[in-house]
Amino acid sequence: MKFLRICNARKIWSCVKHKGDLMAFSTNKSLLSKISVGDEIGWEEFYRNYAPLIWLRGGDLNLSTGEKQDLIQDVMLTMFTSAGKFKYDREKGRFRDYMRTIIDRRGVDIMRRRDKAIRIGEDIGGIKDVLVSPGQDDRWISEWRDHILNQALVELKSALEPITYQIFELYALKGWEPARVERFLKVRKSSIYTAKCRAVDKLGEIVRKLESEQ
Amino acid sequence: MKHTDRETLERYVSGDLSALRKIMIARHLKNCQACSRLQAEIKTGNELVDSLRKARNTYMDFEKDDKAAAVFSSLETCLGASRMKKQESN
Repeated sequence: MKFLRICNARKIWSCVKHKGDLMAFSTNKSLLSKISVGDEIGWEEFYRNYAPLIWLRGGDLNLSTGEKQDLIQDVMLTMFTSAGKFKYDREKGRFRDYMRTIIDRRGVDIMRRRDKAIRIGEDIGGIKDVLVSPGQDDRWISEWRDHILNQALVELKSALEPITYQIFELYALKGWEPARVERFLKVRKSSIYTAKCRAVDKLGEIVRKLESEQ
Repeated sequence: MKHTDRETLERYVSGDLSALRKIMIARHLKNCQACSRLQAEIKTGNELVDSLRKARNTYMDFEKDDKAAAVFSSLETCLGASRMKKQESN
């Protein structure tokens, strides 16, 4: 099978570690097509994009560390088996909601496996309580927003001149004083503010684009 | 009325101006809608950057532990099993 031939855990991990050098994100539609045919780059991209989000959602469902790893794996398996059948239609619903459904269903499966006394098919008060507890929707929206922002940051790096991005990284993200940035990068103070403006404007543009695609 | 340029407003919002300059700009902002709007845009941009910083820190915490290798090696086993099942049923 193509995926097993090309899927080597160590090779993929080394690619995931060097994520900054990989291509910019595919759209959801193209990513789903890639993973449905076992495309290695598609899998790396899916893991890079979505594993932290799935991990955080697992925390909301009170899963243990090992269970959260299982959750990532189970969601990826689900995407692999259903990606070919899934037709991404923005009219029918947001990709964000589709992802949540998949993650929550796999999370419930893990919770059921954990409690061997529970038979499959029964309404489980405890599990339902976790899924509908106050704040779940807000937490998901916040986690999705973090996911979008991290995607935007990767795109921003490709979209800006290297020096502009470096200034933005040091001044805006790391909070260095302008004088320190000046000395370190050997740039004028005025260019620090110009670079920051440019980066923030571009960031806003990318975030709006990503939100509209979801 | 002479408007404040964006770089100066950025410095004003970040506090990187002399006390006298700050007072002059504050006075100008009271009477200039265009510059006040630009100031608001800069503040919105700074809020976006704050959100980005927090989001990045959250993901950096995730990446600290080596989870990917464990996930992918288990995934390879599971995919192999699900593929064999499919072939048997076909």
